Amino acid sequence: MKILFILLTIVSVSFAQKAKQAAAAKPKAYARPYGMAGCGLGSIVMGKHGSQVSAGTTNGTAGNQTFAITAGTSNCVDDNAAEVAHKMDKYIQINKVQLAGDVAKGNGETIVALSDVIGCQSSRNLAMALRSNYRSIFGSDFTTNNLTDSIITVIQNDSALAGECSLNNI
Amino acid sequence: MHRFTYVLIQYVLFFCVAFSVQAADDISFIKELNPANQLLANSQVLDLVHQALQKNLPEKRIWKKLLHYEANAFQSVVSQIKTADFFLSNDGIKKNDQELVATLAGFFAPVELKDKHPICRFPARLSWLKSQLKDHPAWIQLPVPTCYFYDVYLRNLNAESISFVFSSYYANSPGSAFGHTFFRVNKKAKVGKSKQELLDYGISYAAQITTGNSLLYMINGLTGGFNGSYVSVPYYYKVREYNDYESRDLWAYELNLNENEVAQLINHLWEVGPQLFDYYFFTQNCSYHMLTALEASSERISLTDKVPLYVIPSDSVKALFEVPNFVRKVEFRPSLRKHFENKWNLLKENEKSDLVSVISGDSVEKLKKITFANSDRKALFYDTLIDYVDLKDPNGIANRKGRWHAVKEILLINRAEIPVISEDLPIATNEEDRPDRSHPSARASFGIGNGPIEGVSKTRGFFQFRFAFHDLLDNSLGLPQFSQLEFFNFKFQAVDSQMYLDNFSFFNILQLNPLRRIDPQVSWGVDLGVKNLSLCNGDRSCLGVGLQIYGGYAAALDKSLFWMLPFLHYRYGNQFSITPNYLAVGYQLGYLYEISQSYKVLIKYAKEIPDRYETTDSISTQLRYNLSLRHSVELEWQSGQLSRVQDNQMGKVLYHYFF
Repeated sequence: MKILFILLTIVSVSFAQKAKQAAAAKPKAYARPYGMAGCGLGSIVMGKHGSQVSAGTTNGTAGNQTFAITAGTSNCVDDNAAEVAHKMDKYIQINKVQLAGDVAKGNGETIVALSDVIGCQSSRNLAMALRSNYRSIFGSDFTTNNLTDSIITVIQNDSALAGECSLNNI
Repeated sequence: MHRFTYVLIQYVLFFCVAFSVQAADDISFIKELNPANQLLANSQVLDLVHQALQKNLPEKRIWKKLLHYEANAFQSVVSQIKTADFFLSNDGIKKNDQELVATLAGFFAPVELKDKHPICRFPARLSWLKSQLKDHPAWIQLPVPTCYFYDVYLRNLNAESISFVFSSYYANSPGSAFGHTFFRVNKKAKVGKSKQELLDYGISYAAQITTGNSLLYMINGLTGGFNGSYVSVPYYYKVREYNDYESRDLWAYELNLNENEVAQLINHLWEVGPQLFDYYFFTQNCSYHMLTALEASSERISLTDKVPLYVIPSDSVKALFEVPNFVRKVEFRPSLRKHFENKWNLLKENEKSDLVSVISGDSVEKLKKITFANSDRKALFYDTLIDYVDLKDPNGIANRKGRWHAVKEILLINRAEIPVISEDLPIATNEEDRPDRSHPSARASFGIGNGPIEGVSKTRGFFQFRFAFHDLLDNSLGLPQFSQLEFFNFKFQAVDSQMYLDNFSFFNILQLNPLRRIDPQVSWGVDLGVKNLSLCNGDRSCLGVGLQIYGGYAAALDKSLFWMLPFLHYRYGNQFSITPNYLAVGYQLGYLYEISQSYKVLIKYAKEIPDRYETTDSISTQLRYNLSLRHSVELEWQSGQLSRVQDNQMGKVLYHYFF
């Protein structure tokens, strides 16, 4: 009985190790309450004549943007209970170009604000960890969801950071 | 007064018979919300309404501001809000008293309405009415609906203070030529943490653009063809849009509003947020509706009377300073271009040459060959180059395509491997660039002069009026240097007891961009309007309508600016002697010498070669003394045809008044 119990423990621990390695190789997909389309976030126009800050946003008309969508109170609610991944998506969608730059430089307002969105105690450690993982985060898939997932994975794999950043809802 | 008495009698009569007569048509103006029964059944609510009318609340300034009642072009007082949803009474768009009664009644509607309940939809009206009818027993009966979305809105904003933000001039887009204004709602900072401005909210009033066609865009924008509404986005949207993508500076004026005023502004923006207004580029634009929102929030704020009918964004910023102690502090957020120039100026000469070499040709290959003194210099070089690339092709960078995007990818990967963390490089605020420091936008000018007509010396009178905005000789404080932006500029001349139009410019723009080492830009100009030309066999009034388009280069040296602008000139005049179509090519040589903002010299020479008319060589010299932001004096000497200078020279002295 005792041996069986020890065997089981060894097996389950080794599975856990494997799972962790797999997570480091490809970012785990974290839960969101609803997709970005539900926020109407993807169709906000910035600037005149539809100048766009973020790729893949709109075809240039703002006629259907209601105050509720833009104030984040329609489908897309900035509730405290909304998943952190979703909050990060909203931020990263618009700031990802600047974020990549700041991460490469190891510092910048965009990283500090991101750490605020995630709920980290300070941004310095976050900046360092993201910078040493620059290639794996920004090197391939630049879609918002993937960037968010990669960043969360980096945080969770770093014990100091994981303690510092409250990813409670993940 | 007469009308109100009539209404009051109507209501008093109604209330007297309220319990005996279920006359639903007496208050049929109240929309179907079930408050009619509430009103009739509840004597306290009736008394509340009675009190409100007795105190004349519908006529109070704040009530009218909350409902946006203003005199329209036909001088009738109508709400500027177009959507019926904003009004709880059927004719609320005109009837301020009925709307007030319907609002009070609406507050007592059943809680089942939840987010549609007037308490959830009109918190600013509720707050004001409560303050005007303090301690009335009816308030005790006020229901408490769950206002889920309103609560989320308040929580998102987490407002501590409000800033009035101005994004600087952007000549590349006509809608942005005068700048843009919007609110920033400053969040309360978390305990022990510093403020994160990017996470604040920006609330802006803008036109809902429904066309991609430039001509329709202009026509609709000017004539009210677009609807206007408020949009609220996290402030980082604004930073990315203005600072980064369009490379414009942001000036934020923090307002000295007390807690109630901040709350009331937020509440009122919630009320008008879902609604539609008309949008008029010159009159009811982004700036105008920021001022109306502020006026609705507090009795002491009066701003729309401090700007002319045509509200120019910089004028709305100046209006803030006319309310005592209204501005708490001024913050400057420099554009991407300023960041780039700041770093460029920190580079050594050899590093600058290296950078210039990298950006031409195969950047990635060239980059590999550059050696750096140490990691810090390497990091600065890369940071400067990254800013350059972002400036060079913001569209390609945002959409992740094109040559510069590919270069940037490599730059960032390399940068991440340099063991240096970039420190913030602060850029000092230049107080002279503050938009509220600029001269008033309109200008009227008077002068006298002398010049011959057919050999006879004649005294002339000059009168000019310019609706907006700025020319090369005006004081450039708070405005971009070497930029000319004139709208509706009339120039008249009086001679021999007759008045003639010398020139009318619908718009006259000149953008002089001094050549620089990296990415030199062309200088360009457009002048569209009506001009008096000497093509009518000596007739003094010889008007042609058309335009002149300039494109060339400028170079700066110390306090001097030189330029060479070839141009194309077309005017149509049915009185022209040879042909009504005047078409010419030519070039302008210009020299501007700015001793200071007070003393400037402008010399222009132009050679113009028309198709069917005589070639002209003309010259003008202007000496300007700007005594203050309001008063200037100018001496001018000009000749329209140098080969016959005796016959057509003119000297004048002008006084300019800015207002």
